[in-house]
Amino acid sequence: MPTKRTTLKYLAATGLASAAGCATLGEAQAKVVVIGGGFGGATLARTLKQAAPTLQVTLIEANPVYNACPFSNLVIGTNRPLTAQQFRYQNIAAAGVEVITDRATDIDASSRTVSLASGDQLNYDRLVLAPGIELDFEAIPGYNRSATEAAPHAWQAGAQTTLLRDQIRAMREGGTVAMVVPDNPYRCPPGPYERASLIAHYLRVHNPRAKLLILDNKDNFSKKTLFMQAWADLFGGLIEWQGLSDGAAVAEIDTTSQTIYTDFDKVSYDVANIIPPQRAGRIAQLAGATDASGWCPIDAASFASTLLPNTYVIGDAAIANAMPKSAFAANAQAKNCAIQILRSLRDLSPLPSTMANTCYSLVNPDYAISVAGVYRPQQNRWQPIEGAGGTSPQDASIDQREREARYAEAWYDTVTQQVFG
Amino acid sequence: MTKLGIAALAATLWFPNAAYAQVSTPADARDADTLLIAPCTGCHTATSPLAGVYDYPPDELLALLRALKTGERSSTLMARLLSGYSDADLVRLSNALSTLAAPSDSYADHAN
Ligand SMILES: Cc1cc2nc3c(=O)[nH]c(=O)nc-3n(C[C@H](O)[C@H](O)[C@H](O)COP(=O)(O)OP(=O)(O)OC[C@H]3O[C@@H](n4cnc5c(N)ncnc54)[C@H](O)[C@@H]3O)c2cc1C
Repeated sequence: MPTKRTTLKYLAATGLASAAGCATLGEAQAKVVVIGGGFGGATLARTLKQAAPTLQVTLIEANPVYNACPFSNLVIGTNRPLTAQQFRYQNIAAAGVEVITDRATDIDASSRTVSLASGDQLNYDRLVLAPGIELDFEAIPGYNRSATEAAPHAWQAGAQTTLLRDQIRAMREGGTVAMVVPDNPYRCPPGPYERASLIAHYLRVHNPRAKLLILDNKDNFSKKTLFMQAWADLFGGLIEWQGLSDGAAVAEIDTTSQTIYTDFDKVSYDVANIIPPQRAGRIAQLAGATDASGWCPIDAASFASTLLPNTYVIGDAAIANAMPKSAFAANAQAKNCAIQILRSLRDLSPLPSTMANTCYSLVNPDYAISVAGVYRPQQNRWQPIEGAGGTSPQDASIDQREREARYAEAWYDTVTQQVFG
Repeated sequence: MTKLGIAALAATLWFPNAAYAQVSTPADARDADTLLIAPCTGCHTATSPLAGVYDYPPDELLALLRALKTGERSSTLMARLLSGYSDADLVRLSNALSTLAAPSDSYADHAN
């Protein structure tokens, strides 16, 4: 049972204690509906309810179990069980958030109504869209939804994660794993390279003659120098990376003959991990909250949709410019947006603030590198603050790499406990 | 917070768009502090195994943040993050982070 002390600690943990003290104003009867219970939406619903207990906060999430993506690459490359990625919503419900397990199917901004697959309708005063991503199954010829069984994406964690793991474990000796990686922007910029590392970590021991080929639709990627150096040091020549200038742009995939056609070449594979291009979750598109890019434009400082009134967009679905699509950013954006929503319910203008992000990548379970950034809304864009942030140093000691691995774990445990615990 | 404090705080913010608020009331100042620490609390919570920022009185925390920023105290990551914050930000950060959890009883937990 939560004591006063633990409540204080929770508020301290989420950083919204101060707002809780003044939650008696215009928002008393207001209704906020949040669509999507991932790192963005679940954080937002919970912190908003903590900050303003009289608010009616509803979280609509399609699945009863959330499969967290951060650390899911460890499930693929080590013995980490998928259950270490899984979280339920009972603690969020116990905190006073109305949790509805259903899919939002439509939004009518003029009547401020959300329709659910069950046929129910909900009204809102403020709506938050946090639906994450939709994979684009038209972008790569041959790679549609039914191809994901033969060639998993594993970019939305869950059954896809263990499918890819099992295919790699069952691969013939000396086989080839091919990874196809999209151009920016996409969820978790360093994620594909962390995955390549952890697959190589597995193969090095269990299938040492195997190869891992990365076909990348760009020439540069997050922490490239650090990854390349670590790959050379730890895995010899196991990982081969080819970028756009090497002709790696993928033109077509044939999962029957297990062939990937690039612009000038073709590659036969034993296991393929295809990470297709992405856009904002479908409900954001249906609602009319996306622009031609497929993502949701926002007023930078407040996360308010520039296309729909009374609507906010956070997490991967939002166009947050220099801020990457990460769980860390989604969590921080949610806390920021909660304050902006409370201010708007009190007829106060948004208050711009600094934001920061940190993404750790594991090269093996005891070796991590990080990239950090600090951002400000300037000219209505999230811009990096010059001279701040950057990657782990190239000449760091093995001891520092190991410390970063322990900090990465601590971050995951902390943030998942904060959101779902 | 005093009027002077609010003015000093307002000077540390920036206003890219006329539609945005200025910090002019104590409530604004509280919101501004809550916003400032939002990214910090992704890692640094009262129960996190990562450094518990709430364990420090504000002046000690401020000294620590300054030393981390300059590199006088070594870190894997914090210098990179803190270099995006002005000294005025560090003052606000240390106050906001320590006063959040400070109330008497939770503080006693960490006395040893
Ligand atoms: C392999 C991998 C590794 C990663 N590692 C890291 C890492 O180390 N650190 C990091 O910070 N980030 C990492 N990320 C990125 C991180 O997972 C995402 O940035 C984060 O999940 C975004 O949160 P979100 O809330 O925007 O979306 P999501 O977490 O995807 O949540 C969206 C939720 O909305 C629900 N939803 C969607 N549409 C509807 C609807 N119509 N009705 C009801 N519910 C709906 C979905 O079911 C889902 O639960 C990684 C990603 C991958 C793929």
